[in-house]
Amino acid sequence: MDGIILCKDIKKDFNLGKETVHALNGISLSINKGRIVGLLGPDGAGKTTLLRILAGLLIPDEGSASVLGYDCVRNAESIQSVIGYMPQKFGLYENLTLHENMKLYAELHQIPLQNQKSRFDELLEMMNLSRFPNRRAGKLSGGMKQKLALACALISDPDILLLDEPTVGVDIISRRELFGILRKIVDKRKSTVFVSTSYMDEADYCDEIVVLYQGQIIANGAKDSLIEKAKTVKSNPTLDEGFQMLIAGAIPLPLKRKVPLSPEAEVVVKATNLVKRFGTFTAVDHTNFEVRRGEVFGLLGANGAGKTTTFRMMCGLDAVTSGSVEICGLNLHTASGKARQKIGFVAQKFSLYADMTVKENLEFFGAAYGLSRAKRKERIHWAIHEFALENYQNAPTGDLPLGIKQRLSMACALLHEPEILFLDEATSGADPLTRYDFWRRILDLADKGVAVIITTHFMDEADYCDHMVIMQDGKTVASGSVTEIRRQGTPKGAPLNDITEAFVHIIQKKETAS
Amino acid sequence: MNFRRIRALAVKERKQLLREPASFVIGIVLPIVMLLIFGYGMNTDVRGIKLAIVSHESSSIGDQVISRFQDSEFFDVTLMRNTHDAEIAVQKHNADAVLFLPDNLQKHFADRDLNALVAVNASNPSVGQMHEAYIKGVLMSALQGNVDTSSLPGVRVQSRMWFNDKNDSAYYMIPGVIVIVMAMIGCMLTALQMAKEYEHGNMEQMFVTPMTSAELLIAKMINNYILGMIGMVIALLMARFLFGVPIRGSILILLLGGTIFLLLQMSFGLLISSVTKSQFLSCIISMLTSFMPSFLLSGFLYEISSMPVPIQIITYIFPGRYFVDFLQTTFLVGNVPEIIIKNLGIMSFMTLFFLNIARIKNPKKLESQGISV
Repeated sequence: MDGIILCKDIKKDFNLGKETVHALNGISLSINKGRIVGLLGPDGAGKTTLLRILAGLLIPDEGSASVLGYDCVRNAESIQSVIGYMPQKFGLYENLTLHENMKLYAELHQIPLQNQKSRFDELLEMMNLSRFPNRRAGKLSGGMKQKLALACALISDPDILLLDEPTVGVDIISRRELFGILRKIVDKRKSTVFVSTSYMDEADYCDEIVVLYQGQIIANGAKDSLIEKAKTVKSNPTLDEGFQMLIAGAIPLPLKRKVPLSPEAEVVVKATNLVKRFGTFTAVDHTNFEVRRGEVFGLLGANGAGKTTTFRMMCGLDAVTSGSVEICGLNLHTASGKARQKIGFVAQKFSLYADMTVKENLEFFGAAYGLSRAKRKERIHWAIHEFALENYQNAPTGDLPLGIKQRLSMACALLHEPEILFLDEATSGADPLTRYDFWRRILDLADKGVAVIITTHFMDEADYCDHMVIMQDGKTVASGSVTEIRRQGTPKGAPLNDITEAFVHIIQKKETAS
Repeated sequence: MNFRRIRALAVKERKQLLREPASFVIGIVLPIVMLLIFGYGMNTDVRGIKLAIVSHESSSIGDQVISRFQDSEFFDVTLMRNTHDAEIAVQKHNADAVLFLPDNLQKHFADRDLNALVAVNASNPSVGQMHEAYIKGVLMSALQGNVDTSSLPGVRVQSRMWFNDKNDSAYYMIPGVIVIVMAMIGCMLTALQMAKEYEHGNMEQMFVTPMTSAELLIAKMINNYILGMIGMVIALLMARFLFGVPIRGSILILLLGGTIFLLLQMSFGLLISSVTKSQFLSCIISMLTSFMPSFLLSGFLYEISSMPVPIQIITYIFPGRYFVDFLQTTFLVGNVPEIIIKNLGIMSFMTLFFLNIARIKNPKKLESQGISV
């Protein structure tokens, strides 16, 4: 093997209390110069561990790794001075300006003073950030922060870039832009990029992929290697379907509503003229929504479009500046106790008690919602059965795999039989199998008459929504069924765009107009 | 070791420090507020003791005693005619202490058989004892004035308060405040800053640069050192010019001691944050191991020699006691070489010890970060 990144039979365990987690279990791979290689896999697959080992930050238990011929354990310092590395959490200093952040990394890498200015200008230009070199990093949007972090990692003009989930939580437009930048760098400098992501569809931007699942490589090579097996059962499979085929050995049937949404269903959430201002900045600008019983309602938007703020106002986590939210006819802000009784909420971050068992968490949330002892028993029994948690009842919650945690979060949110369920990027970082399972349950709930309001960055999940709203700059820019949105997002006369293209089209059209 | 990288890191730290109002508050406002509180508010000098004097009859000696108390700036005197009223007054906190003058005072005095009862509210024993001592003192001097000195044996008791002639508590409070302020800036602020970098993920990206652990630690300390010394200078200026505390030792030696103590606290702060990597834990641990001991176990508020022996032994492991000893001596007595060398020597040793562990605990690796795959 002559790759510039080499891994040979790497194993890495982490001790979690009395249990041992095999984060990496025999990883061997070789990456050639001048390629963008995607490290794909759901959360917990071992992506970060592998990248940290390559960056010399972790020591493998077994096996060896080398970057540019330097051993990752013995020559960690040499590697660290020649690579560009971007960890998952921003390595930016929020109260330093763009320029100061770049300056710090330039000095650490000892870039000669006379070259610094041209390098900064070049990078800012490349990242399309030249307009505000003196803005503080904390004041940038999510996508811009990622670009700045990338610029800092690129300061020393490294031959190898290791990027750990640079696109997590970033909207589709910024994701495309980021990969566009990477492509330019690779074309121009013949550098090598090893980038991890939990979005399977980002394989499209890569020359090669390495797919990790539970610490092992399940596919490696050209991006078609992921879907090869799936091709035997289906023509034109998606990358998600390829993953499902590799893991589960079958492609599940597409999900469908059993009970379609009735046009007469009553309105259970009514947001009227919602406005949210932070100082002089208007995050949400006179937005109106209606969500009906049994409806799956998707809230989409670019980063900083106001979708999270809207979402938080609708479930009572943020106060409104003006306007009102009615839940089943109750004003959320004047009758908040009663109204909240009708809401279930699953946060993006796992927010259950990690050191309590599954059963104890359910007991606690049942009690917190004020269920009587008998009712609680009945509902917990239901939840354990419904979410297939029988085998995990007495396991500490913190040690559970992500998919099970997500099921438990949902179970806790549904204990008090809410009529409305709010889900904030609940599928972020989940693998396709977990997401499929998750949506099967969501559609099931909707069939039973629960209104579901969800935010997501997975465009394919839009297909499950009865109604979608796309937000931009605090305003609703498109609203309707998926088909309607696709029509709105297709230029006149052109063939109908898929939902991703339609979304990009709608956002960009508004951007150029303004 | 590369000075360019240290400079870049230190410049970054300085900018962050200046843009973070909390650091400014801790470095500049805190010393001023603490000095004002301890200098004016929390002084242990006795003034305005509310004294009830119960006397059932009027006599010339009794009146002299009473007027002695009334003339004293230390007492607010209320006269009462019966014991019951006095008890009520103490219960209602209208009186801190009661002096019962016996009947037939004149006769008892002449017979040299005088028994006066002093009752103090001792719910705070040390304050109670102090009140008692003051009352006794005034009482004795009032009575002595009436004695024909020639008929008494030639015994005189004279007392002097050495190094603190005025027995002014600001004299020993102010050096104590310097200890606390510097423990706060040195240990807590440093620990928080470092832990913040771990929590925000800055550290991970910094590690993948040519920077070394030692460079990072040095850069972290430079700015807090400056901030801490500004705090110390403010405290010294206020001590000298606002509270009139004499500074009998040399300023240079005081600043040298401050430097060593600050380095010690900073290296301990770096150690705490390198181990915990969490702002919350760093805050609690530095509170418990640096801030509180500087208050309680340094000899600043409570005299170490009057503590139980096991506690006295514990005080040896906290640097506060060495610094307080050094400061109080250098402030009030002057340059005493043995004391300076002993205390600064111990603190220097501790500094090197902690600094070395901090460096080892910061190996530019994330192994101890726990799982985050």
